[in-house]
Amino acid sequence: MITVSIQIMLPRFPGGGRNLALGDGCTVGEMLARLGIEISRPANLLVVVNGKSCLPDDCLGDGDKVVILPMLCGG
Amino acid sequence: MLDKVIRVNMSVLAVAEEKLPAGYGKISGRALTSRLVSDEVPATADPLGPRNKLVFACGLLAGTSLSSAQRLSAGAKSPLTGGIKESNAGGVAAFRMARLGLRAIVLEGLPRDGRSYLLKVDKNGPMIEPAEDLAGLGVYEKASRLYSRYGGRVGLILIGPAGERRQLTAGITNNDPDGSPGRFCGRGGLGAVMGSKGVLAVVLDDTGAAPEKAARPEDFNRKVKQVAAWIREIPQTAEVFPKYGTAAMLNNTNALGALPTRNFSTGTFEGAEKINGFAVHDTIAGRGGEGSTTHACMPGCLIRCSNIFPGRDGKALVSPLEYETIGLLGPNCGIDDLDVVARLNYLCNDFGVDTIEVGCALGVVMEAGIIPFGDAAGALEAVEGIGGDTMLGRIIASGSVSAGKVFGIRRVPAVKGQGMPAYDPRGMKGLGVTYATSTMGADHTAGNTARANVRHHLKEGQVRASRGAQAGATLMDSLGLCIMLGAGLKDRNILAGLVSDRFGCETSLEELQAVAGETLAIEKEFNRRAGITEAHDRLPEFFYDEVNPACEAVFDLFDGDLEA
Repeated sequence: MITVSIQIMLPRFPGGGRNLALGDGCTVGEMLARLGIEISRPANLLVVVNGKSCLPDDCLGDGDKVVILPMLCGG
Repeated sequence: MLDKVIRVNMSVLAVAEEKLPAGYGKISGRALTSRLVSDEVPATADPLGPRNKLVFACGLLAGTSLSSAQRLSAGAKSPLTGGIKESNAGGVAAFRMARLGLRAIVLEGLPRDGRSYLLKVDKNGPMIEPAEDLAGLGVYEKASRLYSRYGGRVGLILIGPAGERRQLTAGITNNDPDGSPGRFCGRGGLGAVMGSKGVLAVVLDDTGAAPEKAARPEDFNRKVKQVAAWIREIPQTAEVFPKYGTAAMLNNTNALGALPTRNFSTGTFEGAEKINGFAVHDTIAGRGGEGSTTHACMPGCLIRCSNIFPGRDGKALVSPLEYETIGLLGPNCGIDDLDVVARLNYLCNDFGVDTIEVGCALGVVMEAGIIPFGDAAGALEAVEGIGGDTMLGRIIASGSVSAGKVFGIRRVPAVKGQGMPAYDPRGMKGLGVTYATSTMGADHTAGNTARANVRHHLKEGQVRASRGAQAGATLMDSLGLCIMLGAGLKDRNILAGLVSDRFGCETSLEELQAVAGETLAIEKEFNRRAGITEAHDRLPEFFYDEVNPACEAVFDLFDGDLEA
């Protein structure tokens, strides 16, 4: 088992941080599924783990700090 | 339909209205400005001399009820980059141009008497009028006087005192539907080109104009409604940007270590929560008054990512307050106070300068120790100095590269002479590729890879992402469409359908994409003839050597990688 801390910054989702226990080798995509967050194509989410952007197949590790943001462009 | 061009020869103070040149077909927006500049301006021309031309163009879908279709393109040879330039903005000017049947306005020559003029266009045609009384005034006062003279409904294209002084940070602004003249074609020093022509304003009065209707109105309107439905369905266009504005982006760049902080020395800012999209929203909502968390910068826009930021007294301080401005005048200067950023933004607007370039120049001045990072009062005094024409104000108004040379600073975040927008190229390497390879110099709107399916801190996939983004941005720019609409378009074939229905022709998406591709090729060739080659497709050296501690990366895409 691993535990990651998660901060969700999405519309329609309660903000703030939480910890989540996941199975060893859990991927970003599996974590999102656990949280009930849907990934659409083209991607609608930016997932940042320990300050670096990740793709759905990337594996998570114990103690990772995850931030989930809406995929944005422009400014 | 939409096939008229106004040519203004400032050397002899003559105006003419004519049809678009043969062979120009269905090109508009950036495609049209770049084509006209490429065809008519020698690449060797002095950007502030008589042979340069300043072109304004609207898009093929301007003047209609389609959302996000009223971008005003301004194009010329840039005094900042030395290459071809297009910079576009929302506002009402392109809408009014289209309703007057104009696809372009071309300012040519230089006035021989050194006096100030304006161009007035109404249903009876164009006319040059004296404008000595506007000389030296700020943008807001200029607009106010022009509304008094011509009525509050006119579209205005304006420069501020910085443009009149031909300073390299000078942009060209136009007014929004509420009359606020804060929609800037900010980049590339195009305001200096307009100033060199002695034209302080273009006044567009479409009263009594009779715009032609779409050739297939029912089909056209059905597609307009389809686009509206998509905008209301996609989270970015339906929820995030309307509520938080473009400032929503700040959480993303801060999380990625790509938020320029203290002259691009790191990519996360300790004060981010005070200036992010939530803070902008909560401050505006909490203060009420004239403030508005959402606002359409152009007629008919459903995304409404603009805002009106009020002061503590509830009176409008500036509109809009946007991500790039917050990033460069905030974290890049170590400033975490939205009121200070909003005031700096207002001053930049009033003097008619680009907030991105000024933010980069101010960061360089801070790096030189002239003003400490985080010194809000010092920053305000320095930017006030642009209007007051102090020595420091002149240096800042000359842009980041000039400021670096004056103060002996090598850490200058600029490519091809133009300062970087609010994405550190080590934290978002696709943007770095765009900065390096774009015909426009460092410019996020030339190809923003923020939505690309890549690991932003790694080099893999970034060239491909940037190329795709540059092609996509050029497509939107070349139709006068806002890049924000891109996220809301589920099927871009609808753009070809809209053009076809409006003009009664059969256009495919492939044809529109071919125009965009030709536009990029024309721009690159113009730059080559101007002396800008692949050797200039590089970032400043420090980005390759200096680790951005927030994303633990250097920029590591070299010449060979960029050509791959």
